[in-house]
Amino acid sequence: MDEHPFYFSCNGSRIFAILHSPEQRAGGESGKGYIFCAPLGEEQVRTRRIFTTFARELARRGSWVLRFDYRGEGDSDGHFEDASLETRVEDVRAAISELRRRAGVERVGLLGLRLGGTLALLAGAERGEVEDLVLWAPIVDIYGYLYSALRANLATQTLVYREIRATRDELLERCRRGEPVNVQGFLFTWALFEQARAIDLSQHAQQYRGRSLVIDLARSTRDVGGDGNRSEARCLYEWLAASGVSDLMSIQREFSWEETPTWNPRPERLFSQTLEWVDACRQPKKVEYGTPRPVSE
Amino acid sequence: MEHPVQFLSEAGHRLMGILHVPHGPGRPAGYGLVLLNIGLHYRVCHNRLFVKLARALSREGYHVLRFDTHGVGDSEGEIEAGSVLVHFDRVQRGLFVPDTRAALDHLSRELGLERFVLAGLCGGALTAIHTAAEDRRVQGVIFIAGPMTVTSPTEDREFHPWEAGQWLAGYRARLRNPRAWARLVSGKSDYGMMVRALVVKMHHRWCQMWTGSALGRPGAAPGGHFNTHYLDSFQRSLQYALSRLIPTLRGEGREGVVRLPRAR
Repeated sequence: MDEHPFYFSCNGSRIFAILHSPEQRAGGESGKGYIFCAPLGEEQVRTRRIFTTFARELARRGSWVLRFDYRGEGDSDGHFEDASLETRVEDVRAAISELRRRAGVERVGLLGLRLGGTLALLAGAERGEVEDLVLWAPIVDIYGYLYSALRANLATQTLVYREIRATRDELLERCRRGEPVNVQGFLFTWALFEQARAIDLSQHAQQYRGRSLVIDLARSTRDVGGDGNRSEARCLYEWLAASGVSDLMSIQREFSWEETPTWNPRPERLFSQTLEWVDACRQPKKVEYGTPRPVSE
Repeated sequence: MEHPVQFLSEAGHRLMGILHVPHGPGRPAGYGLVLLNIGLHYRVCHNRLFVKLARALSREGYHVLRFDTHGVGDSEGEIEAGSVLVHFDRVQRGLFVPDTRAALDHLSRELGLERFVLAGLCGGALTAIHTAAEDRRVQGVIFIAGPMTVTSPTEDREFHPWEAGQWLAGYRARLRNPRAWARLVSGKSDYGMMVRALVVKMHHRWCQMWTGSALGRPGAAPGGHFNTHYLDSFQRSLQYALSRLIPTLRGEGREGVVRLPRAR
């Protein structure tokens, strides 16, 4: 395994990254590189190993892979509360440039899990340099996702005070007045909520012209696929399919980003379905774009 | 100031870490700190606790290394899929001690450091104490929320009397809360947990009275779910610590005052 940890600079801050080089025995480089976009906060901590394992799998098959930590997360500079959705999209863009510079690849794909998938789409829709998007259980309703994450604060209140002293709406109001909300040790600011509310993901999705794979990770076998399944992933797939080539898969979730009852660094179904799709995308795709759209309006 | 480092474990896996070097007003401390993570979580720890801690300590003049043990985070090696409880059980018994020794070897080799303090959270605390019990380079352990009871997947999970006490304290605190009473009469409360907590606590009390032992179990000190591996390592690391202290005491003319068994 050839894996090189390093820092690169983005707006004066150091971003921690690991570059996986393609293995020689893979039958030559694919000439393609993937950038992995991690989920937010504690979800990133819990799913780190899955990204590591999948990056090694892609490198074994001849691709370059760059994994990195957003500013304010992991080993990168900064504090979580100073970062925003905008800075995270900037970080993805900087990672694309860094991968191109270091690996010399022209063709770039983005792979994201949860909010990482959403950020990958936002970055990919902006510029015509992303050929493929792989979105694992992407977040579509970003504001709803952040609001839902406030539950963790309620759980902490119950543990500490044995009662809930502030509801989610009260926490949000405090947040609006400048008091960040602690969610599992990460401070959520009002800017994060405001930006989330301003993003219309359907427009960004319809602006993306490359290929995409959306994988819905269903909680149970009963929720997998089916016509009645109106998951966020299906919704996003329909937007993407309206303007580009998109595929949707629905498989049962083999790991958890909320808690860790079982250790599964190699979710086999997710990996095999994704690899099959990635292998089918080895041929370059010409991507034509119109005017770039800012992340939030 | 921090930079990534990679070093080989005793089993030949390449382990990934971040080394924080002293900077700022603090003077170099002369020994290194190694932060040991919770069970299978990677080197940043929950809510980046270790990133913040390591950056603060390096400003105070310490070399701090936080690293991923084999099969975790960005390191090589595999930890097979399975129940987290199974893996916690292995961590409690010293799974990551060889990796920790390799981290100390790396710091000795690269920085010339020979004295270390290990700091660990939860399973990391146990790894710290197990390593301290067998490696004389370890001068101290910062034991953060290390569990003293074994979480064994091979036995039914015991509802510990302490845990039952916590539940009962919670119920007591809610006695004057009308919403809690409303939940109780509307059938929304967990009656099973209430009864179980009460029975376990009463049984524990009865055992205490019967045996006169604070542990409360008939003939059970320190058996049951107490982590005897931890107790053994704690005793041995304490002996090391005291054996280092004795020459100092002797130098002050107190020879013979303290007599302790020699460390194994």
